[in-house]
Amino acid sequence: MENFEEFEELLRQRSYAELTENEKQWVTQFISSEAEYESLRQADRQLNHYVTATRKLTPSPKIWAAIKNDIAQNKKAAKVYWLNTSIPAYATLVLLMVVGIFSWYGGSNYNSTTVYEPKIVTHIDTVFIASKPDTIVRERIVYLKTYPTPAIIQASTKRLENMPATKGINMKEKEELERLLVSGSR
Amino acid sequence: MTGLSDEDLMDKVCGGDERALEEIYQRYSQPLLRYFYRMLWQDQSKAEDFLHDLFIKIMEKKVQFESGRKYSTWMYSIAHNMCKNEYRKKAFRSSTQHSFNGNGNIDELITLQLDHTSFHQTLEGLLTKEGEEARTLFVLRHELDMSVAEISEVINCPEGTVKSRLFYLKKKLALALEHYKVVLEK
Repeated sequence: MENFEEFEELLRQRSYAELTENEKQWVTQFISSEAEYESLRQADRQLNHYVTATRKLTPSPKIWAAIKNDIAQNKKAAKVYWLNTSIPAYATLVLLMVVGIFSWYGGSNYNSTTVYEPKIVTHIDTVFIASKPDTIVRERIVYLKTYPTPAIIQASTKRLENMPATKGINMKEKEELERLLVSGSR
Repeated sequence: MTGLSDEDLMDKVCGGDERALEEIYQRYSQPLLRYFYRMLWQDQSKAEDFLHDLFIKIMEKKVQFESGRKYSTWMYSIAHNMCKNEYRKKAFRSSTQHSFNGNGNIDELITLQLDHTSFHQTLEGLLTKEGEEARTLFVLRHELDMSVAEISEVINCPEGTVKSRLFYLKKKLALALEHYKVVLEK
């Protein structure tokens, strides 16, 4: 059967009478007689004739439109895929347990009274820290050389009394005197 | 965009470029529609639904595309798996009902078809009778002109096995369609 395709090609192209002696010898690996060869050749031709009928088949344009539409729908569906993702049973169970625990905890505290203490919020922007000083520093001038203190001289002079021979003149008298002396007359 | 390879386009699709996906759709929508049409009981509306679903799957699985792999075979392998699932559903639905396949032998089927139906119906009946695997091989090889290597990758089966299965399928079809030689002469 190795050369089956070559045998088919021969069937299509040439009748048994047209085969060379070598080819006739060669085809005996597939057929046992000339009649069988011709029968196969005839069937081959009939089948080819038969299939030509479907060559006229053409797909409706609606098919491609439907394909495009469905592809677009699938793309939209893919966007919300995570919403429709199936969850394993154990994950669902764990989720239910978590929800159950939270519900129970919330329910148990439902009737309890909650006392809210007013919270005083003070705003402190400066902090003074007062502390008692443990060291006092005093400054004092210390002279290395000592000078003797100057002795206090007490003046004990007497105030002189107005002499009786002296008598002062006033400015008017002085002016008249000067005029006399310069002019020689009064 | 048109000058880029399928693999380069797929890289762009992975980067979120919708124009690249549109280019891939332009390239493969028709052969894929033919593939689904042949695989799914020649029901055009079902084939169009599957074409639509396939491109949605491609967008969903784009990160799974290995950059070293051929894009077309990766895409057809997804399409192949979709058809296999549909066959399973169909088998489940019709398990209690009288169905066309599963009863009687090929000769009876052919005789019945010879009397009442056309070549196409005979071929369809035979492919149904031979099963999902035979239909897949037939469609990939004759309808889509895939190489044996590509088919091997799409259906995840060794090349040697694909060749031998294709050969025996061809022999069965030739035997069953022998009476319809007149179809071509018309």
